[in-house]
Amino acid sequence: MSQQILVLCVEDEQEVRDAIVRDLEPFSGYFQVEAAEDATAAQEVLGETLSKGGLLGLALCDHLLPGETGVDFLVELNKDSRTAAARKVLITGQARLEDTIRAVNEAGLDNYIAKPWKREELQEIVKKQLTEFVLANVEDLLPYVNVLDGVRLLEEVRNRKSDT
Amino acid sequence: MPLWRAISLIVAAIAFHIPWIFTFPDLSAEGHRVFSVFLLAVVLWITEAIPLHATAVLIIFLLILFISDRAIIPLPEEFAPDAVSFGQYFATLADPILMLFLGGFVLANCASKYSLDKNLARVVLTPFGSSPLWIIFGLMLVTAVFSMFMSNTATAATMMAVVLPIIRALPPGDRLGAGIALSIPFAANLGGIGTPIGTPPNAIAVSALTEQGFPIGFFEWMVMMIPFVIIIMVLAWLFIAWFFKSETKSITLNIESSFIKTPAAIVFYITFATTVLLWMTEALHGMSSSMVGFLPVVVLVATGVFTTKDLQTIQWHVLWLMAGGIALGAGVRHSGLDTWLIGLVDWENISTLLLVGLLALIAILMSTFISNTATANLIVPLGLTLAASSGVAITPVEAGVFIAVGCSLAMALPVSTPPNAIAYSSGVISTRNMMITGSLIGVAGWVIFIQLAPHVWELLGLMPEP
Amino acid sequence: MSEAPTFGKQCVLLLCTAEPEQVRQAMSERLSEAGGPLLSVETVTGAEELRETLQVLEERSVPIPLIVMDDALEGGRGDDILLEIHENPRYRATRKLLLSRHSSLEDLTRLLNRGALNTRLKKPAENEELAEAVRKLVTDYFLEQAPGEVEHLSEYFDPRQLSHALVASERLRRDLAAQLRTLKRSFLSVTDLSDECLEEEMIREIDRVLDRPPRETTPAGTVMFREGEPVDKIWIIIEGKVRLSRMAQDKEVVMHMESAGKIVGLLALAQRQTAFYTCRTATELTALPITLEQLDLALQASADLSVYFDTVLIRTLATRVRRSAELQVEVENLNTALSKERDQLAETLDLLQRTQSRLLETEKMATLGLLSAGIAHELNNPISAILRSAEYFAEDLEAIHRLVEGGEQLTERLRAARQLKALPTREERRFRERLGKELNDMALARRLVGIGVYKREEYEALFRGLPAGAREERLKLLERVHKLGTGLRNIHSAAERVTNIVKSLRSYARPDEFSPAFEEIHEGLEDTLLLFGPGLKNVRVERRYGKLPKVECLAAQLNQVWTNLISNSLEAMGGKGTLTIETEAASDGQHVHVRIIDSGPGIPKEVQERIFGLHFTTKQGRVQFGLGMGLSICQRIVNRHGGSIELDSRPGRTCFTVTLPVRYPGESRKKLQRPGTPAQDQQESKHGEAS
Repeated sequence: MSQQILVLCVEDEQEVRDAIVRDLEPFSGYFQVEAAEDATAAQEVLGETLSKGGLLGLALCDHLLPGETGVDFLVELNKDSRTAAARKVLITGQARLEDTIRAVNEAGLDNYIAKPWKREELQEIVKKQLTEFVLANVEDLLPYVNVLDGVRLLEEVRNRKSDT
Repeated sequence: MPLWRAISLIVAAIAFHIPWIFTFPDLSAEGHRVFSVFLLAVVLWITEAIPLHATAVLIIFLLILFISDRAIIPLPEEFAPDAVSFGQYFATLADPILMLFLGGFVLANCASKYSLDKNLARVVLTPFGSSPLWIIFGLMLVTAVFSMFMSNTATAATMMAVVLPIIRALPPGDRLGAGIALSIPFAANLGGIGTPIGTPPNAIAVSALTEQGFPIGFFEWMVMMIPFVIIIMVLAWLFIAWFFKSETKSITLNIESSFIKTPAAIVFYITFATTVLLWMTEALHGMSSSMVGFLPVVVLVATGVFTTKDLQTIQWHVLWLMAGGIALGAGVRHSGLDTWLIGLVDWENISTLLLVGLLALIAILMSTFISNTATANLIVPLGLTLAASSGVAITPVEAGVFIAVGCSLAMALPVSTPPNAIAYSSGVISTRNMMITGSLIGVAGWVIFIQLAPHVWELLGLMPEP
Repeated sequence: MSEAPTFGKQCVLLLCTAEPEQVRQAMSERLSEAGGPLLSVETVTGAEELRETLQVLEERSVPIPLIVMDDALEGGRGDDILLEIHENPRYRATRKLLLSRHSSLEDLTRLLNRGALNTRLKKPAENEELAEAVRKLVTDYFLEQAPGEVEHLSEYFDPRQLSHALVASERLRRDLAAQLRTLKRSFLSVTDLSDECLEEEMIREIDRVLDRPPRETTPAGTVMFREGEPVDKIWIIIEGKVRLSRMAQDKEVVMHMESAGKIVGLLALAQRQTAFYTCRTATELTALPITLEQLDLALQASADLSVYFDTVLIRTLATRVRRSAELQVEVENLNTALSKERDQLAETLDLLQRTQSRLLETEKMATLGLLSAGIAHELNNPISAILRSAEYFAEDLEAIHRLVEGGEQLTERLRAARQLKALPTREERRFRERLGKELNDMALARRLVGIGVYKREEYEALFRGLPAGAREERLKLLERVHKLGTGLRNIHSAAERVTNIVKSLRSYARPDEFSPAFEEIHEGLEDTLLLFGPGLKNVRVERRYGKLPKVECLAAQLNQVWTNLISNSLEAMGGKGTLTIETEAASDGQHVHVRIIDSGPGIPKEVQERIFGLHFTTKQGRVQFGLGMGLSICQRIVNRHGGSIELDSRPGRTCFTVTLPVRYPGESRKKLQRPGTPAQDQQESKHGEAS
C-alpha cells in the first residue's frame, strides 16, 4: 500500500473506545486504525499521520467529549484542506438536533450512528464510507477490493486500468 | 524520490550513453544512436521508473531528435538522404493499428457505459446452471470471448465484480472461491490471444508484420488463434476444476440482466454488432480492420452516443505505449540495429523448434515480470528480423505471432498482468496457487503452440508466402 | 375611418343573425324603431353575405354606426367575424354588439382585449334591453364621430346621454375667463350671507327659474333613496331633517344628521347617479326635488343661482367633511381604548398559560420521579445478573486454563488484562513507537501494546523458549485472552456504572417519601451530581465537604433544590468552568450551610432582585429532566424546611447559600404534601400573580 490511510476513532469512554476499535478490527490490516480519547489527542495522531504523508480516510467521533466537542472537531477537519476529503461519522447517544444539523451543514457529516450500535451496522457504514473515500482519493483500488465494497471498486477499476 | 527510482534513472542514463561512448564494429552511426534509445527503453520499461507510456513518448521524441531528417545532431553525410521524415515518427501515434485499437476502446467503454458486458455476461451464464464445474466453464467462456474484443483488464474487472459476491458467499476456506477467482484472469489472458485487438502485443506483432509485407487480417488472425485458445482453455478449465475441487455442489449466480433500451444504447448495440461483423468478413468487403475499427469511432461520436466526456475515458496511454513500440521498431529496422544484434549470435545451427520455443519463452519470461506491451515492443522487431535473415528456419509470421502469444501466456504472478492483479485483489487466491496454476497453463500453452501451430497453419494454408 | 356621418345622411345599422325569418323581422323592426329615422337596418344571415354588404356599403360610403352580431351565423362564428371586421380600420369606430347564448371568458376577453366588442347581450335578449343598448351605442357613436350634430338628434336618442353631452359642449363654448370672473365676484358677494339667507335666496331663484316646482312633503322615517341605488335628482330641504347613513358589515351606520346640510343627493350628483348614502327622513320633511336636467337648465338660465347653488354646495360639503373628520377622531379614540383592553387580555392569557405549563411541569416532575424509581428498580435484576455472569465467566476461564499446557501464563495475562488500567491513547502510541523501534517491527509492536506489553524485556520474557514459528500462534492466543480480559473488565466497569446510576436515581426521586427523615446531605449532592452525567464533562467539580450532622428533611425535595441550583450554575458557565460545592455546619450546631459556587459571569444586580420571582428563568423555557423549575421552587422548598437561600454574585463567582435547620420545623409538618401536587401549585401561582 503506497499511502497509509488513517481511520480515526475519537471516544472518551475507554470501554466504548475498546468496543469500537475491536469492531473495526477487520479493517486494521488495510487501514491505520487509531483511537483517541479527545480532540487534542486526535489532532496529535492526525498530525503524525499527515506528516508521514498519510491521509485521513474516516473520522468516527463521539459528540460529547471533554474539551472540544466531536462536532467542533469534525467542523475543524472539514475546514482543513488536508482532511476535508475524509469521511465523517458521528457515533453518539447525546448529540442534540442542533449539533447534528451543524455537523451536517458545516462538517459535511456523512453518517450518524446512534448508540448503542450494532457491530454489523458499524462495519457496514465504515465499509461504505471508506469505499467512497478510496474511490475519490486513491489511485490504486485493488488493495482494498478484499476489505471494502469489492464490486464497486472493481467496477471502477474496469474504467481506470487497462492492459499494459 | 524513492531510492530504487533514482537508481533506475541513473542506470537508464548510463545505458543511454554507452553507444555514444563506445563504438561497435559493423554498427552504423545511425545504429549507434538507435541502440542508445533501445537500451534506454529496455531499462525504463523494465524498471518502470517513469510510466510506461512516458517512456514511449520519450522514445519517439529521442528518435526524432537523433535520427530523423531534422535531427539536431545531423547524421553523417551518407545517411542523410535516407533519413526518415520526423513526421513519420509522429505518425506512429496514429498508426492504423492504433486506430483499430481506438475503435476497440470506444466500443468497450460504451459497453461499460451501457452495462452491455455485465448484462451479456449474465445472459450467457444462464444456461450453465448451478454446478460449480459448469459455472467455471461458463465464466471462462464469457471472459475469453469478451476479452477478445475488450481489454483483458476491463473484462477481468467486470467479471470479478460479477463473481465477487459468489466468492464471498462461499464458506470460508472453500477452495472453490480461489478456483473461480483464478479462472477469470486466465480466461481473460487466453481470450486476449484470440483477436488482433485482444491485447496490445497482438497489435504490435500485426503492425510490424504488415510493415514487413505480411499483412494479417482480423478474421485470419482469429482462425489462426482460436482453435488453440479453445484447447488451452479447456485444459485450464479441467485443471482448475481438479485442483480446486470443493465440497460445494451448487452455487447461485445473480443473473438478472436488464438491458438498457434507450435510443442511444440501441445505436450502440447496432454499431457494435456491425463492427464485429465487418471485422469477421474482411475477406468479403476488403475493408481493412483498421478502417472498420474507425467506424464505431465515427458513428458513436457523431451520434452523440459517445460524448466528449466519454472521450476522456479512452486509455490513451495504452495507445501511446504501442506507438512508442512501433516507432522503436521502425527505428531499429531502419538503422539496421536489428540485423546487427541478430548477427551477434550464430543462429544457423539452431533448429526451428528450438528457435520458436526460444522466442516464445523469452516473451513469456520477460512479460511475467514486465509489461506485456513493453515486452512485445522490445522483442518483436528483433524476432521478425531474425526470422527474415537467411538460413533461419522460421517465418516472420511465426516469429511475430509466437512472441505475441508468449506475452499473453505469462500469468504466473499477480504482477504478470493486470487481470492477475485484479483476481489476486479478491484475497482468496494465494500467490502459490496462482504460480502453480499460471505457470502450468503457460507452459502447456507454450508446448501446444510451438508443437502444433506451425503444422496446423500449414495444413490450413494460412502461412502467407513471403 | 368610416365617413363622418352628417345629419340627414342615411346610416346603416347592420344586423347579422341566422334566426328564423320571423324573429329576424321582429328584431329588425325593433331596432329600426330604436335607431330612429337616421338609421336604416340591413339584415344579413351569413358571413359571406355580410362581407358582400360591407363591400356595397363601402362603395356607397355609407357609415355604419353599429353592427349587431348574433354568435351563430352561417359560415362562421360571430366573435370571429367581429374580430375580422374590426381588423379593418374602416370599421374601428363602428360599435359592435354581440348577441350570444354562452360565451367563454376566453372568447370574450379575446374580443375585449382587441377592442372589438362594445356590448355583449345574452340571448335571447329582451327587445327592450336590446333597444336600450342600441340607442346607447348609437348615441355614443354619434357623439364621438359627429359632436356638432348632436342637438338635432336629441329626440331620437338617449336623452340623458345627450343632455350630458350638451352640457359638456355648452360649457366648453362658454368663455372660461368671463365665467371665472363672474364666479369670483359672485362668491365674494355671497360669502357674507348667512346659511339661511343664502338658502332662501337660492330657493327663490330656483322658483323663479323653474317656475316654482312643486314641494314634496314626506313623513318621518321614509327612505328617500338607498345606498347604491340610482338617484336622478337632488332635494333641497326647506323644512325638517334627514339622516344619512351607510351600511357597514350588515349594520346601518349614521354618518350625518345635523351635518347633512340643506341639499341631499349631492354625492349621487357627483357619482354617476348612484346614491352614496341611504337617506331617511328624521322628521317630517318638506323638500324641493329637482331633477338633474332641471338643475342643469336652471343653472344655465341663472348665473346667480349658479353662484348660490355652488356656495350652498360647498358649505354643505364642508360641514360634512368636518363631521367626517370628527368621526375619524372618534374612531381612533375607540381603537386605542380597544387595543388597550386587548393587551390586557393577552397579558392575562399569557399569565394563565404560563401558570398552566408550570403546573404541567410540576406534575411531570412527580410522574418522572415515580417512573425513574420504577425503572431503577427493574434495572437492578438484569444488572446483578450481568455482574455475576462476568465473574463466573472469569472463574470458568481460569479453570479451563488450568487444563491446558502453559495455562498459567494465560491466567496471568487474563488477570493482568482485567486489572489493566487503560492508558491514555497518547501514551499508548508512545509505547508503541518506542517498542516498534526497539524490535524494528511496527506491526508486532502494535499488537504487543494491544495486549498490554509495553517493554521489550516483557516481550522477551513472554516468548522465552518458544521457537520463532510458534511465536505467532502464541501471540494470537495471548491476544484472544487479553481481549477476553479487557472485555470482562469493561463489562464490570460498565455494569458498575449502571448500578450507580440506578442507585442515585432511586435515592434522588424517592417517590415513596412522605415524611421527613434524617439524611446525609452529601449523599443527595452526590446523587444529583451523578445524574448530571455528561453535562459535567467539561466542568471541574470541586467538593469542599465539611463535617455535617444528619439533617431532618425531605431528601427528594432537597435534591430538586440541588438540581436546580447546579443546573443554573452550569447554564451560567456555559457548561465550562469550575463548580464548587461547599458544605459546612453552622457554629450554632442547629443549622447547616450548603454553597453552590460557579465561576460564571455573575448575575446582574437588577436580575438578582427578581431572581426568586415566580416566572424568572435564565433558560429560554427549555425543559429538561428535573430542570427548569426555577429558583422560586427552590425557595419554596427551602422555606418549607425552615431554611433560606441567599445569593452573592459577582463576575467570576456566583454563590447560592442554602441554610437548613437540622430539625424539620413542626408547623410545616402538619400541612405536608407531596411535592408538586396541583392544589399547592395553584396556590403558589395565585400568590405569584398578586406580587
